[in-house]
Amino acid sequence: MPIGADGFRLPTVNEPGSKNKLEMIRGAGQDEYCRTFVINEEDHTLGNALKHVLMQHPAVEVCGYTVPHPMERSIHVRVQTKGVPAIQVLHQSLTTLKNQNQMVKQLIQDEVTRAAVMHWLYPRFPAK
Amino acid sequence: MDTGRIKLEEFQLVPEHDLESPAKGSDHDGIIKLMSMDDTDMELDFIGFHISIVNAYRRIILAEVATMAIEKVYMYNNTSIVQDEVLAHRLGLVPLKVDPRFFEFRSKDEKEWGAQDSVKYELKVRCSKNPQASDKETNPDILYKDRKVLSSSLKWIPFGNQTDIFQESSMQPLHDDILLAKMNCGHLINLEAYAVKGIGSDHAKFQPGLSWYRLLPEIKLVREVEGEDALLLQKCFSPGVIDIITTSEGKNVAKVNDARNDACSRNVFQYDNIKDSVKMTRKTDHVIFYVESHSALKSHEILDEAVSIMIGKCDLLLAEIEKHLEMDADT
Repeated sequence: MPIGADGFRLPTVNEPGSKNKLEMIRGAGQDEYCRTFVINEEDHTLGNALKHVLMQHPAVEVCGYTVPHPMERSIHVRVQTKGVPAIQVLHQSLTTLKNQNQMVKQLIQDEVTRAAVMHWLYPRFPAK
Repeated sequence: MDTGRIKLEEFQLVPEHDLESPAKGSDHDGIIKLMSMDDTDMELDFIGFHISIVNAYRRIILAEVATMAIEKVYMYNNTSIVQDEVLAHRLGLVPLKVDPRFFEFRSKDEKEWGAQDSVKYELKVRCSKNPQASDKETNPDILYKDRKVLSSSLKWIPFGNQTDIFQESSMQPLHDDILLAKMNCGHLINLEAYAVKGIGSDHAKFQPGLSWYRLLPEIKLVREVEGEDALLLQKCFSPGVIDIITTSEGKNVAKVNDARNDACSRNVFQYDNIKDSVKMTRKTDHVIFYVESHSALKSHEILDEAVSIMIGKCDLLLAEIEKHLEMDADT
């Protein structure tokens, strides 16, 4: 997501003065197994997909995400687990999500190469 | 895997869940089927994947896949009736054939134009009288030369080592006949434009294309529909969805041919006589996904970039978590 008035560039987390990518809220209702993670510079694109993968984790009791204010680019992901530390669950879910996406990428590439070989799939649109 | 369906009733949508599917399963067994593909259009089916992932790809295609577009215009002379800012705006919207993957994003405080992050174009057009036009000619397009300024007049000015990497034909606008401005005799436009790499969430000119999806519709006939009712039923759905076949007893009976192309208009609920004869549902795990390209990238390249960007997001977060875990292990 772009930052600043020009909006030319996607921010990296190593810039001085930028917020951390991942933070944790401190306070009541937060411990090793129940955490609210604040992920900066993200929105529903990652939030919804991550929430879905988190729900499938067997150790997760409660999981949800929210965008606290639409003008601030951050999401709050709440994870409550039984027995496994919340940050580990987040790590495992992100790895699962990454693997799924890599699988999708491979599947798409296979299909596209297959279609290129059997170019009979093109007849719907006229060739340029 | 949620093999549920959504039932389309007259006034509401009712979710239906498959009783056999487990509450927490994994979607590692999804399939992707490519239905049709072209350089500009692509239709594929995501079967067995959760809608949140497919939606993430759609959002990334619209907001985060990068393209090149003209961003800054230096006006040296503009005596045409098209105002400077209007002309600059129109130039920004012109799609370019430049492949964005060869370029970097321009950094925020950069003052100079570098060969690795920008492309320079020049537009120098003067509208003058056509000496070959006859005296009786009234059509202004023949009377004057260069009356219409088209995107073909944009000339690429290479700098740095760009001539070693790129050919002129791959740096032109995507379409030659985009009308940028109209001029009258004696008017002149002289400008320099710089194109940079950007993303759709910054400005819509950077969007590589369109992307949308829908769930696969299913239509089931609950009872037999014949004769006039069958014809009415056929009209209620999109063409090609319902067929009329003649049974052995000589009756004309409606049969569902292929529900895929149905627009799900639910027109059938307008007519009391056939209202109860169909059950319309949508499969929640079968997504028909469309990608349309209107930029330099081909349709499958756009989708490929989108999935790579999603993987990049996961990687970034995973690195952050690992940093946190290391910090906790040290303390």
